[in-house]
Amino acid sequence: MRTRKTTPPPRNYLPPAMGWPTKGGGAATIVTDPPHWRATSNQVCGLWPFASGTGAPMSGVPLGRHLITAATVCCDPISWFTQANLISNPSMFVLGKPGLGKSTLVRRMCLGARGMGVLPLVLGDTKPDYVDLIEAIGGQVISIGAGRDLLNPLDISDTLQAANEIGGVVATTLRTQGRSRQLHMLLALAGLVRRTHLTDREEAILDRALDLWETTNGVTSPTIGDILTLINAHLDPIDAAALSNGSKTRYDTITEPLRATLTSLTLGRWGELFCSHTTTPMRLDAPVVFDVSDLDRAAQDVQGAALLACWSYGFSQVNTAQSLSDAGLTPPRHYFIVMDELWRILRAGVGMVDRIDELTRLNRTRGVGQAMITHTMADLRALPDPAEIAKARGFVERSGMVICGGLPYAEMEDLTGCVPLSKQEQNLLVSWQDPPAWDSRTGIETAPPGRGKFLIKVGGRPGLPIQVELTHAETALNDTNKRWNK
Amino acid sequence: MSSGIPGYGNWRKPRTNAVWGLPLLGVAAVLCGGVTGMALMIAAGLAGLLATLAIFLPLIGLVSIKTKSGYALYEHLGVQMAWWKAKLKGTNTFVSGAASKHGTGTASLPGLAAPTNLLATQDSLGNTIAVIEHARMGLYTMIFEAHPDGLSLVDQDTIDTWVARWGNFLADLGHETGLEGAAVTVETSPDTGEGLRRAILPRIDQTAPALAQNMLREVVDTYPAGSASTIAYITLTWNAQLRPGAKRRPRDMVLRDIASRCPGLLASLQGTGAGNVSVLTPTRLTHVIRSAYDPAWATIAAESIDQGYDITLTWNDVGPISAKATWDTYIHDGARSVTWEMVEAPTGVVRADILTNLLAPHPELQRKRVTLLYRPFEAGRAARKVDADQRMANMEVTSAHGVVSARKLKNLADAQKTALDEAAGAGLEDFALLVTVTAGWDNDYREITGIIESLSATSRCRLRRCWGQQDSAFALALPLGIVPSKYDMTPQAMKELL
Repeated sequence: MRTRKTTPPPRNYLPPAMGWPTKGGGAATIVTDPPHWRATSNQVCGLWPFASGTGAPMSGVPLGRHLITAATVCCDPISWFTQANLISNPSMFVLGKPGLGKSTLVRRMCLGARGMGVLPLVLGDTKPDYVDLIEAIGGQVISIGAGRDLLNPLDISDTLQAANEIGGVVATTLRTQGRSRQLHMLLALAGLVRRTHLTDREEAILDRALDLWETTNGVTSPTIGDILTLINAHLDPIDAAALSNGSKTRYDTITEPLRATLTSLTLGRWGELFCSHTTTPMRLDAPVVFDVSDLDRAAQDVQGAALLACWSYGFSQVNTAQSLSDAGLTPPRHYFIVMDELWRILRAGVGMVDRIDELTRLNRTRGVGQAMITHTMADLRALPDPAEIAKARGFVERSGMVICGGLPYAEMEDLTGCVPLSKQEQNLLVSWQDPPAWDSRTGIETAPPGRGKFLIKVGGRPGLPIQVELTHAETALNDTNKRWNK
Repeated sequence: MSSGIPGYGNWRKPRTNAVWGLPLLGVAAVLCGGVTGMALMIAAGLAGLLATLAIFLPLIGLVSIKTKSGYALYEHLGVQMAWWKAKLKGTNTFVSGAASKHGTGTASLPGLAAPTNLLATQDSLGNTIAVIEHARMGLYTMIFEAHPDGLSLVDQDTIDTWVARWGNFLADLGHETGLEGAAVTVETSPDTGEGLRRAILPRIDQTAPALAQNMLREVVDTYPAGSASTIAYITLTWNAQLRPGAKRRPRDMVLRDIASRCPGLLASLQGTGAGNVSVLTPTRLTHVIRSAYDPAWATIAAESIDQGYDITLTWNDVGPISAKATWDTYIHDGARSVTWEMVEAPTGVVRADILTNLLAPHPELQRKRVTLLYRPFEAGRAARKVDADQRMANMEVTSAHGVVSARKLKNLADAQKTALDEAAGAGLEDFALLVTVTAGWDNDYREITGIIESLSATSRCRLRRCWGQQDSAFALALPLGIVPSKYDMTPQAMKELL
């Protein structure tokens, strides 16, 4: 066998220690040891190399400038979740005393989000703060109120239609979720009117009634009046749920409190709002705002119920849209859901925390940013039951990031329990809630010192203090207290 | 410290034996001179004495006179002579690539970094680690990348904890067998507005309504620049020889050793204020070094990476195509760098944020690199050195007649404190500081020098340009893990005499 002669591999050129000592070789001229000092490690650490920090990532909607480094800070929950991986889920919680620019901040996020292809959905605008903006970006304004657009709290017709189109396992899930949403909404309204929770038997009766309606009427959703009619009709399935063994008198006795509650829901201040079919279905391909400012003068429980109905409807539509786009029937869309004035719902009545939890669930949070806004942690504490308080705090703890405006000192302890704030950050937040000075020359109040200043906190990391700066394009839209100016 | 903010200090220049204010070699020269002078005087009279003085006085002067920067005259002379030699032979220029007369026709690194190779290994967690092998010296370097959080809005006790943990990390370095040196390089570059533009403009949805698009475009035009980037590189260099004079371990063994230490070191860097720490992969390391030598490339590369392209370089692509060291600057690939070294450390007691101004990004300084070089002593050697220091200080005090000067007493107190700290478990380190600023070819360097001088004044240290050795100082300040004391050609014994 012939062995082939192989040439040895070429030797690796290894330059001398100081480099190639030829012309153009770049050898180091000389190396002298830089002057050094000797100390123990517990002293040398005093020349700490990490005293200067990195800035914020430039991912998301540009909000304003950093108060200390004057660099631009970009932040929005969707970008920080999907692009920058800075937060654990795309949700944020905004806290701050009124008048310090919370809605301006959120409006900037909505506008920027729209510019980046995300649709803002404002599920409940009481002042109204967002209507001008949504109109200016070509969105749909649904004005809820007596004699205006009406929303049926039991409306899941879009969901059922989508389920029919999609078919398969997904359809079953959608139908179940839609039914569950209907039931929870009905229980919420009934609980608000009755001012206490419904019994288990009544829950079963309502469930059966809804079931019965769907089997007979398909995609069309019932109103509360329709459900009342069904219960009044003493049909067999509902009789079985009421355990009245066919006896009409017994049935009437058992269902009387429930029928009374439902009747009061169909009359008066409740009836004019909640007992009609939806007049304007919510679009899924444009920004939307539910203008509930007409209810500003209504009672607290009606306000809370209306907001809750809007939130529930909004989430249901987003869920439907996502299912449709997953099935390939519509192009995929991203949404930014704004839930303003959380405190109105919490103060509406008992058990609202659970309702919010149940009704603001999404199958898939990816691509949907959420923002919940309230004044202070005290709003979350103003609940009768300690268990409810803990659940309400859970909203803050579970959100991906918390943005704090000026807050009073009494808040700090509670807030630090949810979001670890250092003493310096607490002092900063307290300094931002100082009232404005009185300018004696012009005779008007100057702007409050903390207006537009926010601290963005993610987990335990040091917060980013920012100053929101508006562009010319937005300034015209942003006069929140327009009423005063007129 | 019972209350208030802790202070740090008590660092001293390593003292050599000195008699009559002269180092031992100077004393020897004086004695030799004396004897020769007397002999020549006997032999040749006054002329002989003058001749002796003419020979020995300059010698003594060279050894003993120290300039303001702390260097002796002979060291200045040495640098000057090396520089003349380099200019004469043309070795201060570096031409690489196709036109080079050596090497493999690619842009290998110049100067001190020339005999390096890039190796990759994997640790137990599956991370790929880049290891730089300094082939001639038998050293291996691993680099960590950290994004520090900074001091703003952090409570003082959190800062104190971070600094103490950093001290623990430095102390632990003394227990790493074979560790030759460590360094922390903090590199800052302010955003010129390009970053904000790159972050927002591509994300604008063209189908969005005009109001939204206009707002985002107005932001890009009117808002201040985006945030500067501050990245810290923590470099650790191990020796292939575990003890001086031992046999060099083979490459595989050292790589395995380093890979096994990586997770432990990462864990001990948590909580030191370094923020998010990760080990550099070979790709990232090549990017870092290439950006240092060619800042223009960094901008282009950042844009490409934003658009999703992957850029891989080999170690041969990392160096500059051409570089030239002048007496006062270093020119590489269209950029000019100046390096300073610290010649006076902050005296007295300082707080942990003393270096903040020096480390923070400065809008006028395009790229700034502050490097702290550490040489930790092994635990056993540290104890001996500290005891020797204490003995010498004690001897100075006890051997003085009459009233002892306050300086000597303070010296003794400092030495005792150092000994106590070391006995309590602290490590002993030698540290030095280098600052490099890179800017365009034709920037006004007087302005940059002025800025650096004012920054160093706020940090209470004095910086001196590394005259005549800009190229080696540039390489020392890079996160390459080059240990300067290994290049000193004077033997250890001789250094003690000086």
